[in-house]
Amino acid sequence: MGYELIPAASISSSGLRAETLRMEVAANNIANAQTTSPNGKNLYQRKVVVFESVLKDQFNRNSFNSFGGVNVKEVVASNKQPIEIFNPSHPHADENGMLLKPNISPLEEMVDMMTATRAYEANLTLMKESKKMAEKTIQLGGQG
Amino acid sequence: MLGDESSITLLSKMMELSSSRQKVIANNLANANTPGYTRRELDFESELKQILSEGNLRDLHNLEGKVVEDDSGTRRNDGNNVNITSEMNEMSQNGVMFSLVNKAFKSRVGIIKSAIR
Repeated sequence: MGYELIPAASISSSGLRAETLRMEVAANNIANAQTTSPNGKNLYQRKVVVFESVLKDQFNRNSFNSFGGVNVKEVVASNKQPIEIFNPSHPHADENGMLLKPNISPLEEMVDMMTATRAYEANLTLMKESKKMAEKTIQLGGQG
Repeated sequence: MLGDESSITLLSKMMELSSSRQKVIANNLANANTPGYTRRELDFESELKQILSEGNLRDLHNLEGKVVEDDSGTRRNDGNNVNITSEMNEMSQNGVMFSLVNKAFKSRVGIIKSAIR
């Protein structure tokens, strides 16, 4: 990576990117809360994002120059068991009339969305602050 | 030489350290939801104090600050101890320090300029 004019811009943007993805995954979970599949095969499962911290230089762990922010390591399916409901008229119900639905709790998703939003805002505020710092540095070259 | 002016050296170093600290805070905030992450801090005050008390301002050029892991604060269930509120507090403190040093730098340069005129 080249020279960075705004301090920490790339670190904050990695945070913004990660939190956006978390938001998208929560939205996808909610959107698929009612998704069913024939006989419950390949039923949608709740997705969870896993974050990891990034170091650009593994040998220099404790230098701020090697900080790379955050990265989304993987998006994994949660191992929650699907909910079974009795709905024999549904085309996706099995021979006993049971229909499988993904076990998605709107509460959990809402909490995820809220924490993602707050973390996004925090990263954005820091980015603005860094930009102000850079602007002040640039103004040093003007009229003293 | 202008660069040898001790307060100019000190102030520009302070600005550099402040933007390094901004990086450390940004990294903490970016990892606010990373499981097992320990928040970090940039410590340069103790080193700076030592240099200033010894009066050897040449050492200022090598002052970079040390990144230390901060184990204080409660860890959440995922093993993360970043608190967004306290990071925002650190950020505003750092921002104020930067503007202060920036202002002092400007007025110092202004003084030198008026002396030249």
